[in-house]
Amino acid sequence: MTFNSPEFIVFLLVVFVVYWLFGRNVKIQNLIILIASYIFYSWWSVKFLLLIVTCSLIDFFFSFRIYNSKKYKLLFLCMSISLNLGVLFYFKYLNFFIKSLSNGLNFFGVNNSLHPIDVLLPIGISFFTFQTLGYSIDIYRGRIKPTTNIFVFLNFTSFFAQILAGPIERASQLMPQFSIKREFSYPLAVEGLRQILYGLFKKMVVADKVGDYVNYIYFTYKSRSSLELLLGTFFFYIQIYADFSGYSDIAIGTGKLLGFNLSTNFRTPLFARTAPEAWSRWHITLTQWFRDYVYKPLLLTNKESTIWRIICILIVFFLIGLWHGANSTFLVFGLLHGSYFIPSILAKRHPVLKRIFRKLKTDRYLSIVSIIFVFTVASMTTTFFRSPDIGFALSYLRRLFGFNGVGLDPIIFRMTIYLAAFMAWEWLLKDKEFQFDIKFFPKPVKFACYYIVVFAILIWGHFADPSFIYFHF
Amino acid sequence: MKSFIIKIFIFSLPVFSFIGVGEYLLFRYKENIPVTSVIAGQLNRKRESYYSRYFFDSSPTLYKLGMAEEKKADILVAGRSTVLGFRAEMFHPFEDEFYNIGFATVTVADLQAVVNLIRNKKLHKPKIMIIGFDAPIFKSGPLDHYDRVNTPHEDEVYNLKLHFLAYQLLARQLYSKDRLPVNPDTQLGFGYLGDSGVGFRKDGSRLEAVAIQQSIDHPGYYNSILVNSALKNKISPFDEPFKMNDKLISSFLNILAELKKSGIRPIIFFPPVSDDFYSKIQKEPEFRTFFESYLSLQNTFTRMGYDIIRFKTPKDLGLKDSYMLNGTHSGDLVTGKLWLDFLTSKPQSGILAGIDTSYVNKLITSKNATPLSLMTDTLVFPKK
Repeated sequence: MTFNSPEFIVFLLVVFVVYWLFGRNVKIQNLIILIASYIFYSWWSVKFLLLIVTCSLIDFFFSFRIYNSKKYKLLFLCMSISLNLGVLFYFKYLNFFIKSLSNGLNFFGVNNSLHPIDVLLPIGISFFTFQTLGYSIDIYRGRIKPTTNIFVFLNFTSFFAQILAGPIERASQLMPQFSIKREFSYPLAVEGLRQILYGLFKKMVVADKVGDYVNYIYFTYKSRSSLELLLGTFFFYIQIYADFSGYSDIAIGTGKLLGFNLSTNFRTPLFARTAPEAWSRWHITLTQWFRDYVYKPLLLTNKESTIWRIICILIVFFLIGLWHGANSTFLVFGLLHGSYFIPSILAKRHPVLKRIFRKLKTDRYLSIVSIIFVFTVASMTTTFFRSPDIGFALSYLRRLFGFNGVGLDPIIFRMTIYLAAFMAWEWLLKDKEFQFDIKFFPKPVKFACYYIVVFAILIWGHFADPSFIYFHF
Repeated sequence: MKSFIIKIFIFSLPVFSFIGVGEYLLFRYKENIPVTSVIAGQLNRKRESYYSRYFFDSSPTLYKLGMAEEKKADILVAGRSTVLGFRAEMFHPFEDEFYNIGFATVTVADLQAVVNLIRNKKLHKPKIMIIGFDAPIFKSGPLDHYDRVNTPHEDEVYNLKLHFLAYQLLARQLYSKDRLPVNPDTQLGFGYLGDSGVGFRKDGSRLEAVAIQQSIDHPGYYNSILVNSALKNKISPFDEPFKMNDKLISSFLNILAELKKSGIRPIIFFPPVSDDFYSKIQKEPEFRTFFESYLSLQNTFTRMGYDIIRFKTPKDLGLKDSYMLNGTHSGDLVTGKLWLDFLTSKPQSGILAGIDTSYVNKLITSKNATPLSLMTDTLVFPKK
């Protein structure tokens, strides 16, 4: 059951009615959400639901040990982290490790019989793990107290609105919301629906449609012109944005329907003027997680050194790449993005660079140029994200920079026009919380927009392949 | 909260209307009838009743095995689409004892799965089993171990997403240049609109109404372009390697032996091809060698004591290629003649001895019969 399936619409409707009709107090509300979350996850896999429940219970237990112990605080934290990362490593990275080790041994002429093991990746494991890790670390740092309410904790780790692909919530943000009774708010529910609707539109009409064109261009890249290949990278960048931000919108909208405020995960990253700005708007909860739990502690060891700052950024983006998947393409993707931070880091010490960066933000025309530049570079970098291996990505980029003409297939041209219209809409509403926050529109226009979006989904929406790209992470 | 739900309901009315109209159109096409209801509908009516599957898959395994389970036939036909020309009338007076599960069993693994079902009493044990596999099934290929019978499959009518896909196709008719056919006549289905469609009759054979109508309106032989080109370009099912797969043949022989041991008489049918296609085979040396090895299986099976309906082309039967649906699929008359030749070639025993051959002969020589059809049930009538 994915967010873009008719089954989820029915599921959400049932949960919504039961929740608001019978949720007379916070305990019942939490119980209803917990049952709904477990039903939702077991739709994917009952076996992995048991894994998530077990890990949650162990983390619940460790949270008290970390909080209460004076001598062994760090030990218990390490045990909790090891458990969570161990599970993540086993399911997500073990085969990558085995393959790399085998290749390495072969390289040195050592014959080996190392084979990947047959293991399935539990959906949402990266998101779940990072959320619980954050909880344990925050307790260790004394930022929060462990909750004594098991239902609150289990809901925090398995809330169906965000268990599969985030936003990665902080305990300090989400847990208090589970501790108080939610009251139905008409404006919040309407806003939630609006956000769900736009999320569905982005996923089913934009991402999935453009995905077909991306596949078309990537599969036939050897016979494509440079212009088409460049558009292929733009298309894919827009596809992953529409796919993941669409998912996040549905998640946040679902939360709002049930009276929750989940964290914003995207803030029009396609219009960023610098690399750091792009990452402060893209998958915000993950970036913030790495900032708070990896980058800042690393940086504290030598705050004044520019070189160390660059190394820290590269470490963080190496990990962000690795978080996306156990493949060298993701590592290159991460490291490239990390390297795009270097000019802004250097700008902190160099007045000329500092002035240029300031100008980029204040000068209107320079802003537009830098948006186009950042968009183009980020798009090209996604070639590594999309390609099955580095060789393929390099071959694609080599052909792109081979300047093989500007021929344009009419169907690719048509899709470019559609996407330009989509980008124009996003630009118009770029300052809103989400780009369908149209409550200030006159009523007839507002309703016309609703129906256009609804019927666009019904008539052009992609119903065949329901999966979200970020489910693989 | 109540006012919120009421407002959402009112807002959703156009959406419900869209879904309602879509479902109504699917109902008009007889598209959204579940396989179980199709089976019940076909079994409960005396006349043939056809249902359509244009948007949803016709789930041949679900449908055919479901029908076979209900029919409890003593004469069972199994194999690829090339056996679908065997019709109940050809087994008069045992029409009610007949069922054709052809197309649900497209590989040796499928056949084994059906035999397992019979062994485990999940399917009625027939007295006779006619098994027809054309040449490509005995060469190595991706489908070697593909067993449709045991592969989980769903009746697509229950797949909500596919309903929405169907509405989209219907809605696009309002502005698309590529119109859907007025009737869903080009896809395999149960063929409610059987007068122009393609569908399974209640005996499991296939009504090829489009081809029949075409052969009545413009007599001739038309439909071999696809198979000829597949053979020439070596694409599926005529893709390399052109080598008999010994493992498959051995599995097939084991199945025959098991059938015989359990008291079921297997009759192996070597489906005919058109003379035009046969001449094309002669021009492809590699495939020709492979095809000859396939045909040599006839002697192997005969030596082992199995009954064979031998390979023939229309010319061998005194007919023309216009009696073939296409290069590899025979029309009713070709299948009928091959069956009659088999029945009369030697004295028969058991249920086969009771078949009224004069009735079968009358059917295929009837004035009403057209090259492709016995015209006993079809809704297509010659324009006279």
